[in-house]
Amino acid sequence: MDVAVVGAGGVIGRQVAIALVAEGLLGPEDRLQLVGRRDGASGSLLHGLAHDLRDAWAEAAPELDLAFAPEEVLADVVVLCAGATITGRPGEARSRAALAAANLPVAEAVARAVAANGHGGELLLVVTNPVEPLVAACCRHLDRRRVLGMGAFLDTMRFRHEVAAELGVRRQLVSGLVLGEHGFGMVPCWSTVAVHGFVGDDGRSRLAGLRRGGGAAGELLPRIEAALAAEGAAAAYRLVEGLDAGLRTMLRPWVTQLCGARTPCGTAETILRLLRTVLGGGQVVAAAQVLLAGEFLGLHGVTGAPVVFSAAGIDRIVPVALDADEEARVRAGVFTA
Amino acid sequence: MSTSWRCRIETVQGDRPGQLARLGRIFAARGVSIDEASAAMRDGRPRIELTFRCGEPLCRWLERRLRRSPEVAAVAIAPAAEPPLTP
Repeated sequence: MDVAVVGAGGVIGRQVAIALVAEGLLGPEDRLQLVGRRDGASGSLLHGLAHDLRDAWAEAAPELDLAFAPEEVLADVVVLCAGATITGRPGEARSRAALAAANLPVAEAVARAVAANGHGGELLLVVTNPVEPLVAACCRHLDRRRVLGMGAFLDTMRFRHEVAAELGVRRQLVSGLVLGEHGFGMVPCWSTVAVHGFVGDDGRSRLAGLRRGGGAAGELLPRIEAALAAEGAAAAYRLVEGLDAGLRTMLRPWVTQLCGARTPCGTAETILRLLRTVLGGGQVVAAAQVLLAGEFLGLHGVTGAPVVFSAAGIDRIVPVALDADEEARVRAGVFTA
Repeated sequence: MSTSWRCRIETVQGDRPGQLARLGRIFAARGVSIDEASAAMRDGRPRIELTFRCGEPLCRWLERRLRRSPEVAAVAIAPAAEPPLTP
């Protein structure tokens, strides 16, 4: 299997590339293509990264190929990590529109190149933000069943972890979805949450108790960012810890992003979790940003929806019943180009 | 639509154990079965010749993919019905 990481010189892309090799997902019979820009820092860095990967994993490493233009992208699975991000530096543009303006060109270029040069069966996983406009842009060139935004998948894994941590159980025992927009408009769907063993009145009561609310993320954000600026990351995380699991899902990664750590480990591990199943021939049942044509809630546009997918792409949308508020918020967050 | 193709690959170095198998896996991983294969020295150069069957988009992808292999010096693919190849 050939996997291309576009933006392999960046923080997230590099972690994804390293994890693919370190965790043995790609071995000597596979190929990992590291994609960067010849005129950027990656023009040099990717050569070094390739040598470092071979140095570390030698005989276990896949064939390593370097590419420096979208036209050179050649793989069965393309992971798009390239582009600008929000770092928390003073004065930087933080709007979704500004991020989209910065990152749409690379997404379009990659999708156009894969459409022109590919074999037609490629899977494109969009990690770069903002996920929804980029998925929409890629679907202008590629079969929409083969383009998935990773935002809702990441959010869902984080939500399940937050619920599991609060109950003191393993994440694997928790089911539940985060749908809608990848951003502060995300919708942790409590109506979909179930935890193995938490059945009956007592179990349902404990699960209901997790749902404490506490305000909208947008309202809490200024206080958390003020704490981060004035007292540091530990103080900001303490504020986040006091919120319910749904809000922690939105705000903990934001603190991680702004404190400078970014989220390479969490993002890479989640991608790997998905690829481990897909590359092994299995199916994944989760949430992802997809271009809908009425299959979920009658929506047309890009949003996080419950899907079943494999290496062949999206197999189907899973019909999930949401409560009225969740449904309204998912509807409100649909991206239409 | 599936067409029969003839592929000639000149490798960077001849006589490397497993080379034919490694290049064959590029086809196998995309569901392409190789109908005929041979590996020999021709005019003092190591050469692999294959025939296989697939649609044209996949064939062109395989050609691009082979060109990016570090073991491949040159590759030429043409419909099997056409005259012999020169990489």
